[in-house]
Parts: sequence; structure tokens; C-alpha cells
Amino acid sequence: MSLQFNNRRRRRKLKRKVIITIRVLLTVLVLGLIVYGSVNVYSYLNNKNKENVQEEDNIDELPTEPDTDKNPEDDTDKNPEDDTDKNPEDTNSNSNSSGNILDNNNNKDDEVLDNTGNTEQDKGNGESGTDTNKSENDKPENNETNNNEPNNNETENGQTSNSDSKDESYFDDAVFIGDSRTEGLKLYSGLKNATFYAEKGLDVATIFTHKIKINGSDMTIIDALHKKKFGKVYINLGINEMGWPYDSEFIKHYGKVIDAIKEAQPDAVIYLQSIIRISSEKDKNPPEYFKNKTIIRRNKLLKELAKEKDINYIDPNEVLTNDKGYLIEGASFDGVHLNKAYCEKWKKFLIDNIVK
Amino acid sequence: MKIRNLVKKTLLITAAGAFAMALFTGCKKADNKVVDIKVISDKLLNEITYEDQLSEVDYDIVYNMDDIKVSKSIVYVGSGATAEEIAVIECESKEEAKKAFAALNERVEDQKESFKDYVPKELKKLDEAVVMQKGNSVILSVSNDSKKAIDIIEKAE
Repeated sequence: MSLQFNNRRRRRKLKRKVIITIRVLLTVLVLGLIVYGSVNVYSYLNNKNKENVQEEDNIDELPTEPDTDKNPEDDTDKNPEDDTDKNPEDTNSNSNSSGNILDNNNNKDDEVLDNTGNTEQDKGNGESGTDTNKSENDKPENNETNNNEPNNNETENGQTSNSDSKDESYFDDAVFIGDSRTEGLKLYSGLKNATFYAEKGLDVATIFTHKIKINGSDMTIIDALHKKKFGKVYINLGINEMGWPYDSEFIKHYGKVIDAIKEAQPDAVIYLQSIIRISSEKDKNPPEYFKNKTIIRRNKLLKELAKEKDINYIDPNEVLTNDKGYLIEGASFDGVHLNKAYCEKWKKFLIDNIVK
Repeated sequence: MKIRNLVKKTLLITAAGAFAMALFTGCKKADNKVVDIKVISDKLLNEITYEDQLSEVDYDIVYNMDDIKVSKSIVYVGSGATAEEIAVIECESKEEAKKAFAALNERVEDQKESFKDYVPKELKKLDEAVVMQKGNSVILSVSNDSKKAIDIIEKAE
């Protein structure tokens, strides 16, 4: 009897224990839920507040955005002007950019001192006499620059003209082919409507063999041109070929590139862009083959090639170089690749030089 | 015996309660973490020294994220001379952020391919590129100071 009684007591005790445990667990659960709920509400309110503050910040920042763009632009405006202001006597050098580079290169003693804009200009004053003694080779490049003054309607080919239309929609069916500099144009110009087939290190030889990712597939640029029709083709190559020893080889390969593009895009308007020059700093430093003198020489050949192939030649150097013919200081961090402000200038030049 | 049992019970219940509370509060808080993309991008831009001039661009010019729902983004890229880059992208959901995370990793791999023959020294920065996901946001930092970048991102709120 007593055993049975004990068992009952134990069972009752166990029951009570289970009930108490369940009650406690339920209480903890409810407490947990309350805490969880309040944490969620708190974080939701906190996030909302943060978003509101961010929106307010954005509104506040809108008017200040142009200021960040102003700095580099101010430089562009200032550089050429400073040059002219500082060299009132050197009118010859101001009107003749490429000649100065060649002159500087011919006069090695002066060249060494051309570290900054000021010293260059000081040298320029001394050199004004030599400017008048420009070699015959300099003249076509100089004419090229002069022909492309903003007020002139005809370029060297007589084919392009300053367009009244500033509409970027012209580039809707345009493809830009080039190297890292064209990649920069893609990133910084804001031309989202255009197509860009560009790759770092691309040259007039590797364009036929080097595969790049286009719409998720690996293919060469020439193959890609056979797959999609474009209304305009802009080419900008030549900086990665600076180490090539022979101009003739460079031009021969460039000619093949143009032929291949014409074959793939027979109805497109083709623009051959000059090789954009490098800064005076880059010109002076190694590697030795990186010289504006070479760029100027090759651009002359490119101009002739464009004529021969019956395509348009345009020279963005008109808006990207200083009065000495170097890439404007402040246009590039390494003297080769253009920064955002100057990619925008490059784009504007392209718009201003649309074929009618 | 009774007292011992009671103490045991109380301790067990307290432990269970604490565990439940931690489960409900701590973990969920981390999941829902919302980061201020402007604060992170500003810190990555200003507290790390870059060789290149970085400029702000739209994310869709740089990354292949056509099928990803992005709500906000701040992206800075170099001029092409270096691989330096900052991207802070907030997506509409965690799932979208996962896709963006994959896209950023793909970008790093593409850049490695581009720079390997062009400017090989940039490969070091790309090998140490920081790609992280924080809640609905993804962050990419390509710089000379990945430790600093990780520190900035981890401390960011």
C-alpha cells in the first residue's frame, strides 16, 4: 500500500515539476518575444531616421557637387592662360604647339630645365628665336592644330566640321575601339548610350588576336564588329606601340586594322583619332621610347593614312595639350591616362567634331 | 534535496532564458545591420592613401549588375593607370546583395586578367582586394592598404 502511495506522490511531484517547467519556459518565451519585438521596432525606427538624415544630406550636397568638378576644370582654363600671361613676348610658341616640342627636343640643354610650367615658359622666352626656325617636318602638325581651331568649319580632310548639335544621342549607334585611354573615356565620359570595345594594353597587332569579354563571351574586337552593326566607329590606338621601333610597321598594322573595320562595318562613319600626347614629365622620364616627338611623327602618318583609306581624322590633342604641345599638367596622374575632367573635354571635342 | 533541485531548476531555467534572449536579439541585430554607404565610401576614400586620382562614376558603367536590384551606390575608379577602386553598393535585399558580392568578385578577377600584362605591379592590390558583404550592402576596396580597408568596413555602422 505504502509503495503504491509513494509512486502516486512521485507521479504528482513529477507532474507538478513538468507543469512548472512548461510555465517557466512559456514565460521566458514570451519575455524573449517582447524583447525581440522591441529590438526590431527600435532598429526599424533607427534605420528610418538614418535614411531621412541621408536624404537630407543628399539634398544639401546637390549644389556642392559642381564644386568638385570645378577644380580640375579651373586648371584647364588656367593652364593655357597662365602660359600666355607669363609669356607675352612668346607669341610664336603660343600659336605653334608641336613645334615647341621638337624645338625643345632639339635643344637638349633647355629640355632639362623644362620641369614645371614656369620654367618651360622661361625657356620659351629664350627660345622664341628658335621657334621661327622650325623644321619643315613640324609644319603639317602645326597646320593640323591651327586648322582645328574652334571657329574653323573644315579640318585637314575637309570632311569634318564643328557640329551645332551637342546631342550625345549621336553616339547611340557608335562604337569606341581602343586601349586603356578609351576605357577611361567609357568610365568618365558618362556616354552610357555608346558601345565600348576597349582593353588595357591593346595595340594594332593584338586587336586581331586578343580576346575580351563582350556580352559575356570572349572574342576579339574584330570578331565582335562582325556580330553587330554600328553607325559610327571611333578608333583610338597607338600609345601601346610607342616601343615599336619602326613607324612603317605601326602604320602598316594600323592600315590592316582600318581595312578589317571597314570590312566588318561597311556602312559606318569611321573616325580615326590621333594618338593623344603625353605630359612633359612623362616625356622626360623613362622609358626612353615614350616621346611626344614620336607621337607627333606618327600622327602625321595617321592623318595621311586616314586620307588614303577615305575615313575621318580627328585630333583630340587640340583640347588636351598646352601651348608647348604636351598633355596639360593636371589632365592625368601618370601623364598618359586622362582623368575625369579631361575625359569630359575629350567627349566634348568628339561632339564638336561630328561629321555632318 | 529539495533545495538542491530548486537551485538546479532555477539555474537551468535562467540559462535557457538567457540563451533564448541572446538567440532572439543578438543574431537578428547582426542580420539586419544597415550601413551608411556614404560614411564607408568617404572613409575608404579619405583614410587610405591612393596613388591614382579616383573619380566617382555610376556603378552600372563598371559592374555587370543588370539583373541586380541596387538601391544606392557610390563608386570611385582610377584613371586606368592603377587598379585602385572603391565600391559601396546597397541592394534591395540580402539575396540581391549576394549576387552583387559575386559580381564584385568577378570584377576583381577581370581586372587581374587586364592588369597582368599591362601593369603587373597592380596584381598585388588585386590579390589583396577586399570584398565584403554587410547586410544588404557589398563593399569593394582595391588599394595598397587592405588591412585599413577591412578595419574601416568592420567598424562601419
